[in-house]
Amino acid sequence: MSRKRPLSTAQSGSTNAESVFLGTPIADADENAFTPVWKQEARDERGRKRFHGAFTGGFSAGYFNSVGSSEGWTPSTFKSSRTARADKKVFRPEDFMDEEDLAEQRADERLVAAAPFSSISASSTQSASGTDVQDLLRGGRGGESMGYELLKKMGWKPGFGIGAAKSQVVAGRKVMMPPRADETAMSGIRLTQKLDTHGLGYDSAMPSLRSSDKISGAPGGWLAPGTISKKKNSGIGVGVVNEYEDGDDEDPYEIKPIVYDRVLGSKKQKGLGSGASKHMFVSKNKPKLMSSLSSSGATSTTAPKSRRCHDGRLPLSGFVLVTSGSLSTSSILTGEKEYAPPSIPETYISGILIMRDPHTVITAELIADFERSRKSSSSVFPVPSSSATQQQRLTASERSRILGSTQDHLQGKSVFDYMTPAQRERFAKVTGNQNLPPAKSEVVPTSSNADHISGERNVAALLELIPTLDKSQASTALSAGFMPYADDAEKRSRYITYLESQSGTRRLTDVLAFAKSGDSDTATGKLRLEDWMRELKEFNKAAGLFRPLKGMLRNRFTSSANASTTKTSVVDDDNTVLLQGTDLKKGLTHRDDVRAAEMGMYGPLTRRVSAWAPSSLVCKRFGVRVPNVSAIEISGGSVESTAAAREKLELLSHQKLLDIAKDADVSEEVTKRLQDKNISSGGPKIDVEVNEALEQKKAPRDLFLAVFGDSDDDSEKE
Amino acid sequence: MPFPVYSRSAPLKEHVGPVHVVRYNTTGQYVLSGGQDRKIILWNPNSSKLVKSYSAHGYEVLDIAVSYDNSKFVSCGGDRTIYLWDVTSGSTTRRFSGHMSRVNAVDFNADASVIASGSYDAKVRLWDTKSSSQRPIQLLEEAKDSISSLQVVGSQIVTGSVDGYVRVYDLRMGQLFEDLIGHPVTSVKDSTDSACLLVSALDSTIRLMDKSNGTMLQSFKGHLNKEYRVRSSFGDNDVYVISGSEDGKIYVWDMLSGRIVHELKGHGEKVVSCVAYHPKQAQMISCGTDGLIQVWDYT
Repeated sequence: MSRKRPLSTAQSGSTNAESVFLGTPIADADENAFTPVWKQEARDERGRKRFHGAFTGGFSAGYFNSVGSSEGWTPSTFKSSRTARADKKVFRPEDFMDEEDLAEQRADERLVAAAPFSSISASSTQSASGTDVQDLLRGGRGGESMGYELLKKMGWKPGFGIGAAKSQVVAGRKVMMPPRADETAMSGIRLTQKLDTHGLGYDSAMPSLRSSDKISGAPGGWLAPGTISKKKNSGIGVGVVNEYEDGDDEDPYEIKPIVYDRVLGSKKQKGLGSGASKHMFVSKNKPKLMSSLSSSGATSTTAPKSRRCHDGRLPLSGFVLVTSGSLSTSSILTGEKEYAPPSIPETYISGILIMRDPHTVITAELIADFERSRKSSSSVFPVPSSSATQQQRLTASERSRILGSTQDHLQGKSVFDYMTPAQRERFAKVTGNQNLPPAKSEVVPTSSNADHISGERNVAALLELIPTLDKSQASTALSAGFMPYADDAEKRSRYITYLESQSGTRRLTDVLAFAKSGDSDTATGKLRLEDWMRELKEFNKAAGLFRPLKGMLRNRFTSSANASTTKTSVVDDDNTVLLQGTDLKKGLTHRDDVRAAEMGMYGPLTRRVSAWAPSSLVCKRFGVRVPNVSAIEISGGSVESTAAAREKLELLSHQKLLDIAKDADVSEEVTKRLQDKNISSGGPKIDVEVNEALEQKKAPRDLFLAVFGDSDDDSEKE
Repeated sequence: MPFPVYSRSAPLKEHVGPVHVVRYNTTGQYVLSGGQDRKIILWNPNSSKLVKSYSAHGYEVLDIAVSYDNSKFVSCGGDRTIYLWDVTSGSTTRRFSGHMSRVNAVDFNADASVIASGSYDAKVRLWDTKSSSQRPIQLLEEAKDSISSLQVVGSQIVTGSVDGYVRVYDLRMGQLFEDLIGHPVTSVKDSTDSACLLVSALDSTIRLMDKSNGTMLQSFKGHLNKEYRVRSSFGDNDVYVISGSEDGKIYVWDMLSGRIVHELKGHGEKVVSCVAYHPKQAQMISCGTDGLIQVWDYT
């Protein structure tokens, strides 16, 4: 394909120049020159795209068409004024100006110095440039300083002090007023000349960052304990590895060489502190109280060395150590009032006196003896804090004397102390051991004279011994339906008495009635004091144990026929249904029906008839009319008659039992008892075979007619 | 009728472990047995052949009762549930659960509309087979101990309990008769004329009690029953009283005289837990903890 030679080349061909121009030179400025028309874009003088919108040739007065918004004329989306309340816009004139107006405005603007500063600016030109600031501070109009002006602008009025407003009574009203100028006297603001090069606002309490503070004489340039008495501030970011040996005087912000050869918790004990000291956790933020602490006679608590714990370590940061010897200091620190302990009344007897020895019975002599000993020597009660060694020196007998025991002193003695020499001889002969301790033939102290309770005070002391039970617990145990000690009626009655006394239905002293008042008292049902105490404790436990089962749980169990039936029915190894209830009769022997059943006297004695109401659906399924159980009960037909029958049968049974007992050669006692019972009940002659109650005659027909019969029918019949 | 004293040479030996209950159906053609192996097996006692095996129980089967029409039976056991079975299909049609522990005894009423079940939880529950309700229609809570035996007789529900009582719930009269036996009752059985109750107790004594007044009419002794539930039965229209024993024998008494008529050996030394007499013929079955079911014939 041959190329056309351009005209210019052809023209300049004669010149035979080396460089040849081919084509049309590209216009630099106009980009649109060679683009097709449809591709050309209209642009404004700043090079911004002029036309937007439909088919790019359309007109849309958008942001760049200086409408003022990028959305152009499209309205903003609806905003509910309910949720977003319309902001009250403040329009400036500039908002309504177009570029032209703005340009005009800008042209009109001129910077002019404000009037107050005109003089300064004027003077500044005259004065040396170095004193300009001083002049400025010295004040503008009227010679007032800049600070004065500022204060006035902040609301301060001449003649008033500076500081927080104080309430003052002005014309009978309480108003908040700034302090008077005379009373302030700049008390709150410390005016100290700033001589150091610290920054403004530097607090000396803050840890210094100057390393020069630390190089004060300590070898190696590091802080030795006690060399600098600086205020300590607990800081954040104190790492373990940065911890210095003496944490007391440590600067948390101090940059120290990191110690890596340290083991946590391996600090050597630096000598034990006073043994009596202990941790008292008191805030350190009460320096004034601390000083009063030291003045209150406590061991120098402020001295850092003595404020170590007993293990030689320092207390936790934030806490100081207080010696227990001056416990009152804690009250000083905490700001609480301290009261003396209440004085013990003269008549008080320690409960230990009785509790130690159940054999002991309080007598007037014993109390007197105890009080005498207490008054005579205060050392009877050694103060625990006095010294531990003194406590250790006490022998067993001494302690027993202190605790008021009368028989404990026997413990220290051997059998031989109570042997006569003759007895000892015999003992040695029997045992073949001649190396026995000597017999002292002492008299065994008897407590027989002390075995009677007397005096209200003793009763009160005994009452204290009765273990207390929660009132509700006692009442629930009473109403549980199940009572322990079924085998011991007396014990059960004692148990009930105890429960009643605890539930409040009975006097507490009733429980005391079971305690034996002495050896001579052989009344049945009374216990020795020791047993009595033990039993009461048992009762207390039992009452807690035999709580009634509640709700669902209760439904899942059924009370056994008697308490002594332990094993009733299990599946044994052979996987056979095993029924075991052989000891069933054990707890029931007192019942007549059980006795009768045992003797094979089945019949009315062993039968119990009661009303039972089958549900209507069951009756329907069985094809039976629903029995009127309530009618049976109300009319007293069978149910009550059986009760009456039982009463008569009891007599009957006694008679028959008597015969059988005679026949069967039962022990005389049983026979006698039965006889006695029969005699007491009158023993009427009753035919055994006939049971009137059960074989009651039907009510006369008249009665039925009177009740159910129709009067008209009667008249008709008649 | 002579008493069946001869046991078959080949006892039914399908159960693994003790057999707790054997029951004839109403016609006496079939026998249902339940055992520790959780299975219920339907036998033909004449041919000694297994007809069907039913298994749904998760624990041992303790009692079975057959409905009047032989179309269904009910079983109970250690899984605390009562199953109502369809005999022919061999599937359970109903399942009743509500007892707190194993169910010892179960029985139908006359028209099989109510199932009565007695449990170790000392309660008797009456279930309605006609409604789909899962709840018992009545709960009898009078017993103080495990219900060991139960029978529905007409409009009466008779229960024997370990607390030593035989209780007769009379629906018609709306009364409950409690007769103290004094020893844990292992079995109650109503006589054919429904006037007496045969009551076995753990004092090795079986008593014939008059239902009307609770008197003892006769007592039967000689066997051994101290621990286990050993069931007794009437035989041959109440002529005999039959009971198993813990010494492996079956004792047969004459009801009127109370004398032992027969002592039958068939279960070795193991406990004979249940005996059943054929409703029409002279045939008897017995089962025991040895896992055997013996069929007794008179020839």
